[in-house]
Amino acid sequence: MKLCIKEQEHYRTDAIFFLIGLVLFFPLFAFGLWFGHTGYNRIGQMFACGFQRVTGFPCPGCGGTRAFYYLFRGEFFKSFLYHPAVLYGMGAYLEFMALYLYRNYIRKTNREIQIQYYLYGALFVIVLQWVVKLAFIVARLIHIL
Amino acid sequence: MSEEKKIYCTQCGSENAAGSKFCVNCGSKLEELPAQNDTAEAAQEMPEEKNVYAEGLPSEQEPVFEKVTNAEEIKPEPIQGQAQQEDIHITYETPAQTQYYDSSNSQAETVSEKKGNMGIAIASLVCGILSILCCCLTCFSVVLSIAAIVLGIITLVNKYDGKGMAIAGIATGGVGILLVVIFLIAGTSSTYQDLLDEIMY
Repeated sequence: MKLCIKEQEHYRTDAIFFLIGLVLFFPLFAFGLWFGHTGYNRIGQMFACGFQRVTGFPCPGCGGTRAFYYLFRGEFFKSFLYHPAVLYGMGAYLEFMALYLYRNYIRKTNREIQIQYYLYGALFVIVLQWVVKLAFIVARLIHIL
Repeated sequence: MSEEKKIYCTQCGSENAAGSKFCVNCGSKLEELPAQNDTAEAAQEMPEEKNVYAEGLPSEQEPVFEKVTNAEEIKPEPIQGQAQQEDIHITYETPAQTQYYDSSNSQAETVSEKKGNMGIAIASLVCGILSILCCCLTCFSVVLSIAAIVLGIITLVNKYDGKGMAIAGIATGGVGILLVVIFLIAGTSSTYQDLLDEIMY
């Protein structure tokens, strides 16, 4: 299997991301399986958000640990509710790896995958879920006051 | 109407006052050229043909050039790094006179062709996204935010590919730093903590 990263003095971004994805595949899934079954109960408290404790408002990453935990326990809806970017990231990762393999080794085309669309999507999901969470918090505060 | 004589630069086609030695636009040496009236007449004759320097035009479609400089006697000094062009001047005005440059060698084109390195813009956006996700880890988030902003600025200044991602990277980096600042201010403010305790409990 030949990986073509450098093509005529031009480094292909998608090939670099594919290599990173390959390197991260086994460690990520091994950690996820461990975290989903025993790890969260042992070290889950380490990931408590200081921003939420101090300010009372969630940060854009709040709920990510629980979403990761529920993702590897197979509870996708709960994972989505806690932090949709985790589910999005996993879906985007699997889609990107499959698309890269399909284009380069089955269809054998040199079309580069546009990484920026995955990043824009991630940014959109993160900002949207944060705004929704803040809206819920503000509505609750207004109700209390 | 005053019949003021004007001369045109053979390099860039800019209009200059009569008697000028050098072009006010590109600085190249000027030659004496006919007045504007000739230019207007010629423009009426050939209104359609504008991109006359485009290579590969069929011979029957080639526009008529009017040789207006005494190029055989005194040739203007070529601009450094620019291929020597034919000393001809088109005697009608077009909206985009900068097209008279040889597009393969001009300095302006060299600047705009500086592309590639999209990885820097991608790195900027990745750092920006991570900085807002990890804003509760203050030091880590600040480092990522600064990296996002610096990489975004590098992309914009050098005109690399991925301008949109660079702008998004700078924006997310800025939001990351802002969140860290809010975190630090709220954490050190006793008034805010008392208010928070009162509301929450």
